[in-house]
Amino acid sequence: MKRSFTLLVFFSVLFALMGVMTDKVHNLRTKYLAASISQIGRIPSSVLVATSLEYKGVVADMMFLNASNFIGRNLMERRSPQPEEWQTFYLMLDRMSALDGRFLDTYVFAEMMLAWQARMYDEANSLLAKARRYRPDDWRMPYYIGFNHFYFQKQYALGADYVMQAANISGSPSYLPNLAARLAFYGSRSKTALLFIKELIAQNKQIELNPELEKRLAAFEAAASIEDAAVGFINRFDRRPVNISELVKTGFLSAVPLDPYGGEWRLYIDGHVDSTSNFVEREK
Amino acid sequence: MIQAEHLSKKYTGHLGRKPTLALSDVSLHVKEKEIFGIVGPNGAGKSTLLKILLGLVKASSGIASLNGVSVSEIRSRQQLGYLPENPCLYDSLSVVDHLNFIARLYQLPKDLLSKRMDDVLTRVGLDDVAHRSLRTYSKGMVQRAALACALFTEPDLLILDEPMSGLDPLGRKMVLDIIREYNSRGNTVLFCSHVLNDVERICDRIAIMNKGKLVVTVTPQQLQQEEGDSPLESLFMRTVLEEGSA
Amino acid sequence: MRAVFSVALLSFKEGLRQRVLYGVVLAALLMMSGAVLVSGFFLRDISKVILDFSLATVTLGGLTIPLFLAIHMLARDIERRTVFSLLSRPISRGQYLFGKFNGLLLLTGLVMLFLSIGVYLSLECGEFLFGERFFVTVSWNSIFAALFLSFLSVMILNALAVFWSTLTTSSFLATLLTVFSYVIGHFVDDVVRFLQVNTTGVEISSSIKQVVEIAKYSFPNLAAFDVKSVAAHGMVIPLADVVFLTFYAGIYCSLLLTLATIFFRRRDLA
Repeated sequence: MKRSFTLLVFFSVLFALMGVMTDKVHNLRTKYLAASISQIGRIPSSVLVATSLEYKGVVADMMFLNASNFIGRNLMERRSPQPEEWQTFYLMLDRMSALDGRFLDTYVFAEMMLAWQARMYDEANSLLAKARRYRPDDWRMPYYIGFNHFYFQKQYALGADYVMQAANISGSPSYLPNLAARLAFYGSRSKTALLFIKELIAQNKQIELNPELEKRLAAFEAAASIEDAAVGFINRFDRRPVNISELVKTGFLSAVPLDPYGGEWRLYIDGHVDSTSNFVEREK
Repeated sequence: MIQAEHLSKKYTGHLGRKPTLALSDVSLHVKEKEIFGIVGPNGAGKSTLLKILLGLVKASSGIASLNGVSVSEIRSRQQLGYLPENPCLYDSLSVVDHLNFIARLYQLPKDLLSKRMDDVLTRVGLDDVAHRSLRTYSKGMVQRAALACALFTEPDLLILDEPMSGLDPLGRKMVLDIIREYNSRGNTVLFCSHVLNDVERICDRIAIMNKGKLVVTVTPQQLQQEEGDSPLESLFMRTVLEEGSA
Repeated sequence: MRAVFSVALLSFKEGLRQRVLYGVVLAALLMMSGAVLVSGFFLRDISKVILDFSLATVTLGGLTIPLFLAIHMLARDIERRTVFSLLSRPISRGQYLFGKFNGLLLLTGLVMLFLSIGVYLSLECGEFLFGERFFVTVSWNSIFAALFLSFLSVMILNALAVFWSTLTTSSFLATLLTVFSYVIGHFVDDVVRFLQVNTTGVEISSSIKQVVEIAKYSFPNLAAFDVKSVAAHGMVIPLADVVFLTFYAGIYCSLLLTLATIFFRRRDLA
């Protein structure tokens, strides 16, 4: 009886120690993890594919988890990854596409992160081009490529062409042909971006993964409302509006919307709108 | 019943081990309804001889047959019960599982099955633990379970390798009684043992083996006349020592 | 036939009494429920992720039979001489092996069938948690085909386990060789393809090519039976492919068992 009591006390003390240590051990590891990313992408595709045996899909999933962890930690710590980290990230996505070519999340990540955040347009486009091979039935792949060409790389005709290709795939939204036309004639960048982000968010379960995107959405929403107003103005008066206040005065715009990034709106002669903030967080 | 002519067995040595001659030119004839005992020191070749008769080991030369059927044919084992030296049963299964397997193999009809199962389990004294897995058995109980399996099909021929090992005196008596009773119903028994006393008591004929050779075959009566007190022991010692020094 | 059936049933029963089996099934079910929760971290391909994990778990669960239990039930059967209680009966060596193989197959089938129910449950669970729109690509036909082909690949490994157990005298070696065969079986097809394409431009020596060629013909192409990714994406797996692979598996197993019998018949069970 006494013996088992002693053991119980002993156990309790050890248990309490364990409890205290668990968090410490967790933090100890954090130091090493601090926004680092798995180097698994450095392994050549052929080796990775062969050694994954019959668990290629699972390995790709695990890699995605690591990649998404990396993004999540960076977001949490409000730091932007270094170029070489983005390069590792890209390699990782590339290996994922080698393991499971149809894995959609890889390509969504390529567009969301590589194109929008890392500005690695060529890498994003090459992954998406791969995706078109494995997912020929998916209109989003050419649509993403088209968007990158149009919005980021300013290759309007090429962008419009890809969006048209996307429009030809069954199941694509009905606004695509219209959008392609708009891209070619008006250069409505903000409206395009708005539709694009909306699509991205609607398709994905985890909008909270990127609150940055939500802010951007609000910005494009504002810019697009100015663009829409400008298009309406042109159609009515057959001339371009001089400035934004003219749009408000004529009632096409109820009030000048707020730029969540804190910039001033600029309306260009060709009808496209941007902000002095360039939709980038000011360094404090 | 058992015919073995000039059996030899040479185990080929692997990986630099020397080849060993386990059996050399052994001939053996066991008559029907006979209890035949084989004695001999460790490594005399008793087990090898039995395994050849069972088809587990192939003889290097010579031929053997059971009931006129060559031991290389499966048919030769149709009417055979075997009790190995170390009971080789699946310890995760119960003795009933084993008996059910045998019944299925020999296609015993259902009504006969349950009656025989009761009989044989009572006879070896395992009827109240029959459904427990063999893992929970003592060594003696496992031995008895193995004996139950050997007896279950009521074979014409019973081959027992050290049937008394691991048994307490009571268990030994039980096994001896079973062998006797089984023999009295007109069946043949071949067994080998270290326990000379037991062999002497129940065997019709006894063979002494040493160093892979069958040295001598005698009857208890002959022994009685020639050797006097504890006759088998003195014969055994004499033969083994002579051979050993030769 | 009766002998084969009796041995199969006996080893099936013996396998069922192995507690390892229940541990494996429990671990597998836990892994599947874990997969359902983890799938919440993904963006779009939720059903794919759940299927990736749960189908892999079914395969892993099935693999415990040839990689662990089979060795226990065969190599150790011979090592510990429990085999005597079977072979001293009117059972030929071939019947013994074939019976053991069938017993293992029954066990594999049972375990994988049980875990397949887990696949169904985890999909239902995921659909309940994350909504129907992430589960539109799920195709039960493909899932069945993938599970069946996975069963066939485990069947081939069972035959390999039987083969190696008869060829070696130690259960450890038999395990090692079976694991080795499994890895090679999945590896070799990718290596062959790599050599065919040879993107790196590195000159590969002809002796390596020959070794690969030999491996290609002597080890089963297990990678061909892995259509888990295809099924996870809900794409069609042609029936003709399944039928063809069934024949391939049947022929490969028969070949191995015949070879195993030839070796085992010559073996002294001293």
